[in-house]
Amino acid sequence: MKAVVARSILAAAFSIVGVACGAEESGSPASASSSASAPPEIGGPAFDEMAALHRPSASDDALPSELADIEVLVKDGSQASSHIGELRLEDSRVLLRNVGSREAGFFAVPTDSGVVCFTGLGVGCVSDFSKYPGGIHIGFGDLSGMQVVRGLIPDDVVDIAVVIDGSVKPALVQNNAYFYEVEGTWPEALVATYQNGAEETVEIPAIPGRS
Amino acid sequence: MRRWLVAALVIVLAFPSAASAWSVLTFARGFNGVDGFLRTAGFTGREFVRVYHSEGRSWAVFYEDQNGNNFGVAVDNANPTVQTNNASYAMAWCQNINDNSFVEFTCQTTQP
Repeated sequence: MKAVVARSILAAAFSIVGVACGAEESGSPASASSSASAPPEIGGPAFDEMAALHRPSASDDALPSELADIEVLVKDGSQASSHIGELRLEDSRVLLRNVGSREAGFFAVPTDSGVVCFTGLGVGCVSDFSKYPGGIHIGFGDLSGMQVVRGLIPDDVVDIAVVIDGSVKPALVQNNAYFYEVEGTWPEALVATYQNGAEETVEIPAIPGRS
Repeated sequence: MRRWLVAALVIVLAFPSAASAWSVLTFARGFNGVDGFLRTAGFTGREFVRVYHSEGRSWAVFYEDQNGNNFGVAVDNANPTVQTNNASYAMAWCQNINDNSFVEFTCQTTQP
């Protein structure tokens, strides 16, 4: 029993020391963003369709420490999370800055598998926009303390609007992302406008416990 | 060896949060079942709730308190769908909204 306890303590200690050493070797997010860097050499359907991830990094692209919750994507996920690959936190890009009543940021983090994960307004991952109705990722609910609709969009989506009680209202669209903070009634659909001028309406499912 | 143990103890005591472990609990796994609601067996503190599923299909995750109220609802068609907010004492739920893909889903949360 004593040996087991000792091993556990040592494992915990080494894990902490290992994290600290890793940070020193690879550079903290702050130091990684202190100078412009070349676009990461990774590729995948979603990554390839997001121009925002291919620009040189800027000082505010570094993932804030409070957004370390993105690690929940791969924490003990084993087989279920194997499609995600390894998060490349050093290649994060800010998509939306200071949005909504909480002035939140929305960040994208690519993985070594070419998957694009996101954090700041909830977390998740997109690997291929062609798998989504209308090519649009949709997430909504109680995210980061706000009632929001938000998502990632590929380069060919140029505008997003929300439909609420039959009226169409513009969403904030920037850097391959969109955002709309809900006040009262939930939107029932999104209207996407594409580079070729086409439009498509994508239904938003009803939220559990809400009408 | 004793010196290492003492050093390790000092580190663990200095960072108690790192020493306290939440374990990940898989509370549901399966295929299809649109409109199905799946939940944990009981209430406890939760660090997050998530479901891995077919990309592009919508799932919801949320908590329920002891009074039967839902909170922390997150709906997403990205994979996984996640609620990263924690809950001090709650049942964790996942709901299949429109996933009839025949891709296996896995609902997970944490327990102390």
